[in-house]
Amino acid sequence: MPHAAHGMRGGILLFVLFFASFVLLVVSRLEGDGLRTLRGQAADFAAPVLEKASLPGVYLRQVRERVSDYFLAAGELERLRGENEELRQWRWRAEQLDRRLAQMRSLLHAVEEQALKYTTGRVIADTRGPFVRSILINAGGLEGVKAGYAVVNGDGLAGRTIQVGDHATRAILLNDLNSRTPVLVGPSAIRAVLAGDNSAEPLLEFVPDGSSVFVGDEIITSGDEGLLPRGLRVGVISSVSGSTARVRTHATLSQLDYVSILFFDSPLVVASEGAAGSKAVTSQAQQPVEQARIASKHEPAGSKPRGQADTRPR
Amino acid sequence: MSRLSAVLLLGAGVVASALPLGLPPDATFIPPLLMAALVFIFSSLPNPLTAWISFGVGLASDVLSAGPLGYWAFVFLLVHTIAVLYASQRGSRGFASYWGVFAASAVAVSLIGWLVACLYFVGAVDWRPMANGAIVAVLAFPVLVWPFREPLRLTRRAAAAGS
Repeated sequence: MPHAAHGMRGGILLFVLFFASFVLLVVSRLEGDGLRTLRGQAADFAAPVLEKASLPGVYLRQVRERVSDYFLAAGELERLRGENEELRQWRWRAEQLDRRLAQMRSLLHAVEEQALKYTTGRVIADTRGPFVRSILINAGGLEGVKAGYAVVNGDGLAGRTIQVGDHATRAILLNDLNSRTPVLVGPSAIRAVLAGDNSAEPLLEFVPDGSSVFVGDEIITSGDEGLLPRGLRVGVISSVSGSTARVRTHATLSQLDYVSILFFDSPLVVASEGAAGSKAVTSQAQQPVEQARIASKHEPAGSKPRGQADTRPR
Repeated sequence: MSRLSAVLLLGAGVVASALPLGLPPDATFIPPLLMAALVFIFSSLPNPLTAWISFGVGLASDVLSAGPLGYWAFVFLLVHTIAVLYASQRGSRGFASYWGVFAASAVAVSLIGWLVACLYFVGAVDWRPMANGAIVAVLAFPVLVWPFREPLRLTRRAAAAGS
């Protein structure tokens, strides 16, 4: 008899817990502000543990990179020499264009573009499951981060921030099901929307009728709606089949390590704010967005330099 | 193995599965389904996990993964229920049947989890990560079970004695 009573209690408990799971799922689907705040606080709470726990992985990755660098050094040196030659020519050309651009701007009395502030943090967690592709970064509201900011790494745009705690920020990646990013495609700057579908390569949506996109076309952010800065590198079209085009992002979304969060509130905000002030900000670009260079604040001593993000508008 | 050690091990597993492991999108389900395998094993031990613990571990996974609250709690609870039901049956404690039951529950849980995900998003979500996760969890199951073969009485002699 006690065994039967125990079994019944267990059955009721299971029923209650299953029911609680369903209630939580429904509440989560509604996604109220309270829940978002709670999640932000939970991320803040878990951040120190995740940060410590992710350190061995970071060091292992660095060791692996060093070993692979060592073995590939000879071939890599040759390739880099060639690339360096090519880049010198590009630098000369870029400086020339920069001077011409400055002259044109002064002739037109063009308004100065917003200077770009940023902070750099390490990815301390990422997600599993069919619902989200997101990362947790060890920089938060105390560093000046807000929801909606662009997240980039050395290769290009990776996503944008969605939940901000004091010390940690969650960002959805470009391939997340909920991610929508206004972009420009190819040399003719066709406007479209980059939409994630949780696969490795996001889709290109809302390509205007009559316009053609091709494999290899470069994708950059359009800056429409003022959500993200214009001209951030995103990726290239990797495949086009019928009306569906997929984009291979420059940033390897499954292997993000250090990322920078760009403090871009609105295109109308003038650059002067906080130029020399805030301690939280790693540094401030003194020139407009064209010259923003991303450096890592949390770089461990002796590690390989990372994160020279090219955020130049095209 | 005490219940506390099981909880600590599962807690460490939850934290580890949230770390940036650099897995490709198709492999993102592998860590949580390995966790499901551990919940299955710990729920069929002589001193099993309670439903509360399975639920709590799932909820912690939900919080750390930023997914919908209740999803992994539901999945782990399902695995827990199957394991407890299996453990309550007398006899048939050979490893093959134990593995078979886990394989069946991994398939069932993946399918139900996929359906819940489709309902949640009101559309078909990619089933491949779930399938990959289930396959890896089933294949890794013998390795995960190995340290617990004694308390689970999965040796051939114990299986023969039980049946």
